[in-house]
Amino acid sequence: MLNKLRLRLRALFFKPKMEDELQAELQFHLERESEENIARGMTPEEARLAALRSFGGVERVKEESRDVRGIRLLEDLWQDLRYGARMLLKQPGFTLIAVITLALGVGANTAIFSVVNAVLLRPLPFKSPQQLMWIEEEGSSNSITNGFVPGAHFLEWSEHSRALESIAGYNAGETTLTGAGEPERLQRGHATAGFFPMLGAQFALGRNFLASEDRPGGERVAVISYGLWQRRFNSDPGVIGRAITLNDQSHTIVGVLAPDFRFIQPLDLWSPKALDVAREYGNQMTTHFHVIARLKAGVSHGQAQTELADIMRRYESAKQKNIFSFAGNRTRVIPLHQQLVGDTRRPLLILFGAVGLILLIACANVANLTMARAAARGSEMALRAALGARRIRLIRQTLTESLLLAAIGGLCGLLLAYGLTKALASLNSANSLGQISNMARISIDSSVLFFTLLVSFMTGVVFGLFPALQSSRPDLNASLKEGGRGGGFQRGRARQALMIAEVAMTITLLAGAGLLVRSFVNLLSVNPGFRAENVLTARLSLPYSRYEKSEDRLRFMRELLPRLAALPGVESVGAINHPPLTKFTFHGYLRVEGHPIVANNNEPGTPIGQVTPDYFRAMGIPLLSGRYFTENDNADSPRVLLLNEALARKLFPGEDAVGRRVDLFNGRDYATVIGVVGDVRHSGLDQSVIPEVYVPYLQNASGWATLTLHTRNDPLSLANAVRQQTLAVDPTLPVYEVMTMEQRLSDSVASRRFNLLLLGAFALTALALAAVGVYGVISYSVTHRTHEIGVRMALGAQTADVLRMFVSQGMKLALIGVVIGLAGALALTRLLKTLLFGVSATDPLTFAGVGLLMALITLAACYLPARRATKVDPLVALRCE
Amino acid sequence: MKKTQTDLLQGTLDLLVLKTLQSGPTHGWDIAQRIQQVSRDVLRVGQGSLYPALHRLEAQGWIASEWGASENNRKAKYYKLTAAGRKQLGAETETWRLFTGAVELILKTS
Repeated sequence: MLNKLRLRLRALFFKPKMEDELQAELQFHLERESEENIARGMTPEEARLAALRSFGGVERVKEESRDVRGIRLLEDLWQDLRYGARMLLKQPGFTLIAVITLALGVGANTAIFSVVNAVLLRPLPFKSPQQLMWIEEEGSSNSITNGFVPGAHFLEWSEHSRALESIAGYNAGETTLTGAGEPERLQRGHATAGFFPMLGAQFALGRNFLASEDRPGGERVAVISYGLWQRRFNSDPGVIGRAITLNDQSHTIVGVLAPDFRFIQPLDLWSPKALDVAREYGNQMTTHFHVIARLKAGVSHGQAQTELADIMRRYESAKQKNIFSFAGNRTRVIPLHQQLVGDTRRPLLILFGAVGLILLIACANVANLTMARAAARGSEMALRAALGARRIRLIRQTLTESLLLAAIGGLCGLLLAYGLTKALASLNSANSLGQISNMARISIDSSVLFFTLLVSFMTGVVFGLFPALQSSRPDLNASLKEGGRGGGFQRGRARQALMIAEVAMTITLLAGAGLLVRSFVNLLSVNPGFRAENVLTARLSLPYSRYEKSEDRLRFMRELLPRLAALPGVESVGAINHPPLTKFTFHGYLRVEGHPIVANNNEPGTPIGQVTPDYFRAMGIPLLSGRYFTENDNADSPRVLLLNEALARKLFPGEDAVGRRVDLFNGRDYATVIGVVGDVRHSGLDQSVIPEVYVPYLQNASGWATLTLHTRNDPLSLANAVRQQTLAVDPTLPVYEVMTMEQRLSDSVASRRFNLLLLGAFALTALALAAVGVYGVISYSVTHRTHEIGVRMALGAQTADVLRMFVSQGMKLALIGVVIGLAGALALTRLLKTLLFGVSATDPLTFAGVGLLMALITLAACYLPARRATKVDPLVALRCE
Repeated sequence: MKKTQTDLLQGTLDLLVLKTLQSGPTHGWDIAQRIQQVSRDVLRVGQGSLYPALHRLEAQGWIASEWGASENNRKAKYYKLTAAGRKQLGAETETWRLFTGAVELILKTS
């Protein structure tokens, strides 16, 4: 078997050499024969001729010897390919349309597959990633510590678990880097010493944290990212051992991570977590952080979950009563990849399905074109069949042409996909793919190439086989008689069925895209509760070391805000600890004076906004009753607060909130409600309003601040001025995330926009392809029936009759397609449910709209060729036989 | 019509070639000569069928070829029996004996 294969491969790839050898072998035979003849007494010339005579036809022997090599098939293929290429070149119009159609189908599929590949298929870039688990704990439904693990549980697991090979914890935050250049706000992680080794992270320089550094009081060290090393330290190879200042504390750089290391967020540097064991087990505020673990070989994540939950419960039930209990927590062990993919899977698979439909539509289109062409070539096929070509040979030739077309289309599709993939990758940089964005490198790799190859091949078979089977069974008599007009009822039926299928698939895509468009419009028409136009935001963080006291922070703000207000083009300036569309950082547990205390550990606290007097004006948040804060609501005056409407309604349903007294901090200090302000969609436009309370910055100054400037002109033109003014007040304070409120709003809907853009683009592509398909079918029908039209017109049919005939033929088919498509869409749009906002998956308006749109497009696609039919001159038509 | 004839000849030729190669490797011309000599000029192998047969047997894996020097020191393609070919020779010899024996029986009775 192997030997056979070897010989055939040799025959294929070393054809000239094989030919030479055959020649040499036969030559030897002839010479040997001649020698014998000479020995028998012939002259050399006679001997040679005699030898040749006895040998017979040398060429025939060669041909027969070649045949047994078993490469006849391949040689035929080569012949078919050349013939196919000539045919494609001879009909550039057909070829161009077919190649473009296929390129669109293959290109879109390849591009989306590159995303599917990056997100769902490719393993995470860590050592043995399938053993990596994400461990989280969940308390009550909306506790702010949900997902995080208390430090004591982590320590218990590290000590007692037998299912885990290793366990590590980390969390992410921010820090300020000062010294040597402009101060900069960096993303910093804190990780236990086992974190990097567990992931198999490589270091470009230096080393990981030592265990002695990962404990309270250990030396302050940092591992920096490759990016930060390049950017901030000019790739200095001597950076190890250098001291840097983070939050005004000196840290020694001990390592530089390899360039390809990425974990969930892109972090600039890492420090040891340094868990304080005594503190974690004591009655203090404990650490809550993210935990990842590596399973031992052969342990399932279900087993690990059972074990960890048991360890956790044992610990919780044994611990002293005065220590805060997490006994109600549920432990979950989730494969890391699954956790990171999270909500991204469903939209991605929907998009993948959508491009699959596009490819089918493209196939239907090209099959239609090919069949039309096959019909035109009917007499050629018939002639070849009549001359004795076997059926399989004809099928093979047609199929070879289709595959050649598919290969060209696939190649162009790959080029298209290359561009599309780049676009997708840059769209993804806005984290449109959710948590896994940072780790999913969207690129065309070998598996994507393989996919493209497979898809192109399948495409060629799918659109090629249909016409190949049909054209290989020509009715010799009819075809030869019809003189090349070819076709017939059967073939027409197949083309019509394909057209109906195309319309139906397009409707399904259009319905999905339509629903997403409506959702997006709904989303954008949600009132965010603030005015996003002409607002510049910039974040600050006052380090505790230099702004320890409230007065220090107040002094800073009192100096900075008037400077900003004095900038040209600024209407008003405010500041808040957390601006809309960012995470809450500060919560309180509310108590209304005179109401019984309801202790509920699991109730999430109420977010507290610490705002300067002009914040609401700068953000355009309306006052509903009472008054805003003023400069007089300061440390020397009675404590006051503002409620948002949702909180006012929750605490004082049906009553006037103004004048009531509410406490935020454990009954120590009641404050008076002086007003109610409008609700702000703090967690995103598609999220419900959260009850919120505002306190005056002047009475409660936070170290976190986001400046909000209402400007007259383009807000970004003030970005530099804001930075300069801040540095003028404190030269070591970085200003970061300088962006307009509109940008923040736009970023908050990035993943919805990503899905909408893609599905919308697919639906439009499908619509264009379907229109071409309908046009093709009707146009073919017109050409095919020119003679008939001529007869009809000669017999007195009016142009309107002819027009009606073709348009109604097309519309009948299209309407069948629309009905089938709407039924399909009804079944499929249900999958979109989680992506919709404010519109049902079977929204009648959307369905009616896309049905109408499709009908109009088909009408146009039918009308154009039909009008051509009316221009037929009966005389010419009748003579065109 | 012609096809059945070739088929029969082909089968026989294969057997003759394999048998000839049993005594050791040799080249095409020599195979033809030996078949002719051993059969006392009864069987003459046409070159037109010999070389395709050799190539086919090689493709089947029953014989293998390599280039070597001929008796008068020229480059010639030598064929030799492979293990599979030896087995095939046994099987074909058996079939042939069975066949000729059967034909012989029929010829005797009638």
